[in-house]
Amino acid sequence: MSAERNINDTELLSAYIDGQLTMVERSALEARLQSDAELRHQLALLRATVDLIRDLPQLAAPRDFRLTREMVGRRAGNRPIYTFSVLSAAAAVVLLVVGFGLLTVNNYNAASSPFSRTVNNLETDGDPAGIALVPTGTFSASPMPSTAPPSIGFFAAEEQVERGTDLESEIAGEQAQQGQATQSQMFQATAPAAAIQIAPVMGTADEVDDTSTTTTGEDTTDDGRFRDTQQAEPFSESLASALPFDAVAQPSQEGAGGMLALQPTVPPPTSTPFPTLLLTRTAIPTETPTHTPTHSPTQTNTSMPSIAPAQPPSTNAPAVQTETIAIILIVSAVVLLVASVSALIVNRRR
Amino acid sequence: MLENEQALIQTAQRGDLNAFNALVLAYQNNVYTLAYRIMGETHSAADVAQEAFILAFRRISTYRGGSFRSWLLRITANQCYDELRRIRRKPSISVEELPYADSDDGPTLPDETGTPEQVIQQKELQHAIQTCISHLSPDQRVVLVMSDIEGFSYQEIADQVGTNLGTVKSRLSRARAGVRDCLQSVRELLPSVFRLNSEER
Repeated sequence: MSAERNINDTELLSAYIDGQLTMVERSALEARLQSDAELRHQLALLRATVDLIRDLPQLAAPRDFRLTREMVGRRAGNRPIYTFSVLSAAAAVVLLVVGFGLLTVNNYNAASSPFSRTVNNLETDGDPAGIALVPTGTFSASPMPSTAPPSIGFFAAEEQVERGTDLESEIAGEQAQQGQATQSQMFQATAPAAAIQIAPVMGTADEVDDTSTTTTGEDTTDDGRFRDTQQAEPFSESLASALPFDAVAQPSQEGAGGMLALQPTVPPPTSTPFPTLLLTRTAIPTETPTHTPTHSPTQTNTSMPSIAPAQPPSTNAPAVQTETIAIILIVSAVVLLVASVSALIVNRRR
Repeated sequence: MLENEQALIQTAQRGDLNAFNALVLAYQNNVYTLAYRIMGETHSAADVAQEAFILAFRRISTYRGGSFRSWLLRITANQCYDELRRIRRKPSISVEELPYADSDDGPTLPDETGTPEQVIQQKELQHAIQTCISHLSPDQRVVLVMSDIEGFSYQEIADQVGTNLGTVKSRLSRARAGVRDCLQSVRELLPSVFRLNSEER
């Protein structure tokens, strides 16, 4: 007999012994058994083997297996590891939350300097024309986290709307403190991911105080208050109405961002009360620029009132500190998580 | 099955260790035997049996009725599986090579009857069978012991091991054939059927 046939027959015989054959299979096998002596012998051998195995006696336990409190209190020595795993995992989660919280706060603080805000969605899809607002005057822009060519979908970001209020209030506060009649806040637009931009508060000091209302979408054309009111409203509409500029609508206003080149109606060099919104196009890699900057930085530089920067350097230090702490916390959390998982794996393997 | 087994189980499920230990006393021979038949060696079988009881107490709340013995033995078989995988011994290792091979299987229950020679012969045969079982692969070993020693059905084994009926049938038949062929080396201890050729039948 071939080996394969042996295996098949063995399986048949084994199932036959256990009554696991179908009626058809059993009939066929029994017919073969009647005429095949070798097959009968194999069946007898297999049956005898199974009987020998089944007749193996039960053994006596070599010792008392009853449990003690210690045995069940500790998972055979693994319990401390298990507790460690759970605690370290919990601690890791807490550290992660705190760390990311600090990072978020840190980013928000860094962004909410008078120059910039972090906006998440500034870059609109395919928005070709990016307009970067370049700070002019005496302040230096807060660090721009941008990497990609800066482009701004200016009023496309929801967050921007919210932060506009904060920023403007902050600006207002600073301005009030500084006693500046006018604040030309130049903002430097940073990159899409980083995003910052803000329309500076324009107008007189008095008007500036009212900036907090600008996010309600009201028309504030008179005081030229800058507001980014509607979330998705094209820049041109809101800004044009709010600013004393001639909003030079640029072709590429479509999309959530409406990019505009803004051209102050009042010559910035001489009129401090007026907002100086300096727009320059920064690099836009994917599209041929359609706008031309209406002002060069040099033009407005001289005319810019001295605006005390909202201490970018000083905000940087605590920001860096916070960021460092956050990173340390996050790294610690990761380490703890790894330790927790490793302990669990070791625990299971034992 | 103990008379008040269900009462003991319910008490144990409330955390009463004494109640659970009463169950341990009742089933420890059975649990140890299963462990020994699969592991093939005393020390590892005792370790596995102890772990199985500890695990059973910790999971006693998951017992939902039915045969408590089967529930215990399933836990034991799983522990054996885990231990075998951990040890990863070659299945074809000879008795002489096994560092912890027992010379015999230890005391059995009930006490053997018969003449001393018969008893000795019986023990030698049983040890030979155990040795042949230990030569099987872990998969075949577990299926064989659960089916032919502990009396689990094909379906129960399939559910326990996490495979299908066909695989259980196949593994069982190969295991039985493996023991049958292995026993040829100790024919003098075997029933006469093993010593007959087909032509002589």
